[in-house]
Amino acid sequence: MSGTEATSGTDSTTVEDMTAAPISPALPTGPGPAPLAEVADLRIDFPTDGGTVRAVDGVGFTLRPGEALGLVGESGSGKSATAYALLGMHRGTGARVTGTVRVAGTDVLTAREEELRRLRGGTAAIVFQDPLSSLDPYYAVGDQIAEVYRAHHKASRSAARGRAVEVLDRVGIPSAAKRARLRPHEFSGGMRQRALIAMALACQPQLLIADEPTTALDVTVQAQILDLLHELREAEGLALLLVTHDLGVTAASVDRLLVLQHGLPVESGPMAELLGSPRHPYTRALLSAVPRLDGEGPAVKPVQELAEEAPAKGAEPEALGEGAVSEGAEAEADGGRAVSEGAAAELPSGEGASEGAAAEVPAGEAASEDAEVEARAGGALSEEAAAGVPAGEGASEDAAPEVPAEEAVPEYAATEVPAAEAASEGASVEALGEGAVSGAVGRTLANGASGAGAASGGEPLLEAVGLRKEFGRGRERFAAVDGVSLTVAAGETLGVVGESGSGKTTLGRMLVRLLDPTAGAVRYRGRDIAALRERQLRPLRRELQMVFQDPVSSLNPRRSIGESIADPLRAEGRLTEREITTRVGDLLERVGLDPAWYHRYPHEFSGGQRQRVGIARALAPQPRLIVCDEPVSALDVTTQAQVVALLGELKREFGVALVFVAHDLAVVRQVSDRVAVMRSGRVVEEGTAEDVYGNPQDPYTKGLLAAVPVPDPTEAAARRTARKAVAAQLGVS
Amino acid sequence: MIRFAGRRLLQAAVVLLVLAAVLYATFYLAPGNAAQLACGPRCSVAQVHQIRVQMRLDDPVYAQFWHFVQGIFTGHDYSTGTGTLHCPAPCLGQSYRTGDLVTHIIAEKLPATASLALGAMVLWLVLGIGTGLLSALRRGSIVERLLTGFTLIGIATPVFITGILLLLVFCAWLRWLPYPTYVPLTSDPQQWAWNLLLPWVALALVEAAKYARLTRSSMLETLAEDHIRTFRAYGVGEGALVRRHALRGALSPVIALSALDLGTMFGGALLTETLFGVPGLGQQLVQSVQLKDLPVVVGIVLVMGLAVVVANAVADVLYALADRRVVLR
Repeated sequence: MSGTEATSGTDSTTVEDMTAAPISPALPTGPGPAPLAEVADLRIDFPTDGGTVRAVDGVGFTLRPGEALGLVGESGSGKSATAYALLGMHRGTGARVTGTVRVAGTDVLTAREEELRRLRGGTAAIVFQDPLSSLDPYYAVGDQIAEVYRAHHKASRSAARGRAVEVLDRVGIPSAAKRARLRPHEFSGGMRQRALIAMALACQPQLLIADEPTTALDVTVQAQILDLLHELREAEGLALLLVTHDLGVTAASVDRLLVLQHGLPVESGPMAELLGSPRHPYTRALLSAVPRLDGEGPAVKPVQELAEEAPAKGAEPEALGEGAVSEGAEAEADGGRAVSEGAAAELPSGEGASEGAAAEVPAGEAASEDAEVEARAGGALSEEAAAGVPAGEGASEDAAPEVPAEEAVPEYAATEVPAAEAASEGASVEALGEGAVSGAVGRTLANGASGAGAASGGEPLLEAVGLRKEFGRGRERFAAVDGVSLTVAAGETLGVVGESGSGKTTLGRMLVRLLDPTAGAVRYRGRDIAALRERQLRPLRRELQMVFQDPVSSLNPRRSIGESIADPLRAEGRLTEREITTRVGDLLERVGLDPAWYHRYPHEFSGGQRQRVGIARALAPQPRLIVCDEPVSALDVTTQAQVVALLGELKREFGVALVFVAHDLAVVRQVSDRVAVMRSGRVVEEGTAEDVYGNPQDPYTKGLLAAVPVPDPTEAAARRTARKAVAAQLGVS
Repeated sequence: MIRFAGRRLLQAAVVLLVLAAVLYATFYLAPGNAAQLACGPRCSVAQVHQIRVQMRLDDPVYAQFWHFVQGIFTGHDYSTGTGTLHCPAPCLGQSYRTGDLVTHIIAEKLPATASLALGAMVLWLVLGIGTGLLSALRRGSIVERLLTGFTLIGIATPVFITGILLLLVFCAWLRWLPYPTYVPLTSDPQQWAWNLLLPWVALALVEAAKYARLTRSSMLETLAEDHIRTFRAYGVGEGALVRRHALRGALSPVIALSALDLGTMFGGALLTETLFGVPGLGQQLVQSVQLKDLPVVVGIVLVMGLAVVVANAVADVLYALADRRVVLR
């Protein structure tokens, strides 16, 4: 393999076949059959308001019949733009495409419309990422496939329909003839993707381009689709161009890889070689971002960079001295040292009150310079009061747990950062007790406070008992969640895994009462919130937050991100505008965004950044529990790893309990202390992450972990070993 | 579907009832003496008083309203001095001014309004959707820019300006058309259309401009959807792409809006009616408001309300037919 680290120039960028001497693109005389697709020195410029943007910069590769090439990179790396260029899909969009693109003898860039039309779907077919939006909602799936067939063949309607059923059957859709008459929304996600593949197969193309074909799918379905693609390749001799951000996906599916970064080809080579010993740092970063089932968190470079960047402003933690170290924190967080940064120096000391006495006495206002938070410190705190904060529940069971946290803790101050940040809360609380500091502590960092440690023992923060939710009416009534009981301890992360339709999202929403359970109880700190009326519930709302799956649609596009984060604070009505602005700035900074972006709008951000905004919004009212509903499933693998790492950090820092709902077993493994596996509305297995993943008891869990339900046992075994080999390769790297 | 119809009927009834109540209250609060108006300037105080009693104007307003609502379901008998006038079941009362039954007045005026509204709608849909599609599909071309310019002018020009210009050009200068007088469809279809041509055009030009813009943006939006990209990537020709995959989605909002507009057109075209002398409901409404002829006003407004409600329901059904994912409840 030569010329692997191609960064610029024209000659070195073309990735040639691993065996051969360089082949002239015009004269495919090398060994093996003639190339099916040849791309050389491809450059694509998109015009934008601020000048042109070069999306693809000098990409080249060849693909022979039956070969499979993986085009890998993050969003914005130009991989999809490259794939679309093969079908000439940039025509008429205003994009400027230069270089050579030749597919099955057709020069795509200069071909006439009619030639291009014949190429599209006929010689080369593409499978898009989102199977639901990629199909016409108004027509039956079979009719849509038939239409494509008739665009390329002179065939009667019924013959075309027959062909549609044939290919639907070919991609493994059961009772294809019946299903062909259904519209896309009546298909499941996996079936839709199969239908799209069937459409691609309809005209027997030689080249299949798959653009993130499994990104929207469950693990098991993903494995099925990848297996299907693999099998089609072998059986039909298709060449495959697989576009993905996930190196894990390519591992089992392609022979060679081409890694793109910002439109530049950075590394290429045979898959095994490249995964085994990646040379370019970007490839290594991509590789290490792939979540693994062995529970080792990905060591992603971008995350480290972020961690360095995050506390950039006013970052030097200002030690408050011994007084700031909480006993509770020490007790729970094995000597965790809580450091409050911010206001300490500016605060008038001695404002603190003696035990109990000052419960009604306002402890004085103190402005934190760092946070400019007006601390309406609602009162000094006795040790008992501090312990009453659920944060301390784990540690001090005997200490007056009845004392409501709101009364005990200063009305507002970052010190109140809720939940089990035993460390941080305890820290400032202790300080209060000694009369050292009252009021705001701009940011409280609790080093080494292990949420998991805090979780063990004590009352659960949240407890679901026999939770049930039914949807539909009459005969169509079904239980989405069917008698689920589980507990979440303070500061703990409970992972909830399951495939689509397992009821995990419904469960998550009921836990924070965004949905009313049909039956069962949700006890939050001993109080059944399932039965509360909305008005009674409102004070608790801020303590129970949610991060949503789709960071695009869960943010109001017409409100700046700062405003979105400020909303829950405003709703609380306890802070002045200035305090809110300051607090939002801090939150932005904490989740790794620039506080100066307060006035920017969601569309100006990438998916990962938007999800950070979503997390900041959930953190804003200082919740004790955050339900994260598939928080990373819409993100690139590298971004995923960053967001997961951020959640982990925040959990440790603020001691928030997390319920992490996801279909991705590996991601759940990374963040969770305990895991519940859901299927058809029930929890089939629950235990510590080590137990569930290391020694699964339920066959469903085993199946999920294996993720390869193939009817033929020998084939399944072979495939599984193949996957294991690849996983081992990944593990070595 | 039956549930849907039932709910819609109930909704319609409530809407119309509230509408009538509000009108009654407004008129009750407004200054002026209806009995005096009904009787004429030369009436004596005694006569006016007698008429007040006859018209039940001394009853409290809720009693008057109740009497009115009752009449819709049971009908009324009115004394005319010499005998009684029977007003059958959907009785909307009697004009204060002329003593005619409101239902008769409406029946008399409705055909003209309906002719104007329906004819104009056909014209504006053809014109509007046509230009909209053309400018969406020829985006960036000279044609599109010209059309965009025209639609802007169309939207910006009020109907009375367009109307007067049309009258000036075609009736006064070119003398291609007669000054319009309303001829009922039943008496002479050709004359009916010929005389209504100008009002139709005047009304349609304004509306068509609106529809062209809506169609254009909706079409462009649909063409940018993923499933359009799919079929383009599969070599389906542009024509089939638009006809089979884009049109239906793009026209859904157009259908919804046209149903609404048709509803409002039943009462809202009074400028056009006045300008072209079409003896329709709009004209009648303006007259009756000026004369404080409450029963006629209420009757006409109820008919207009009914038209809007019905048109909305029809739009919902059409919408559901166009997009089967929509479930009517």
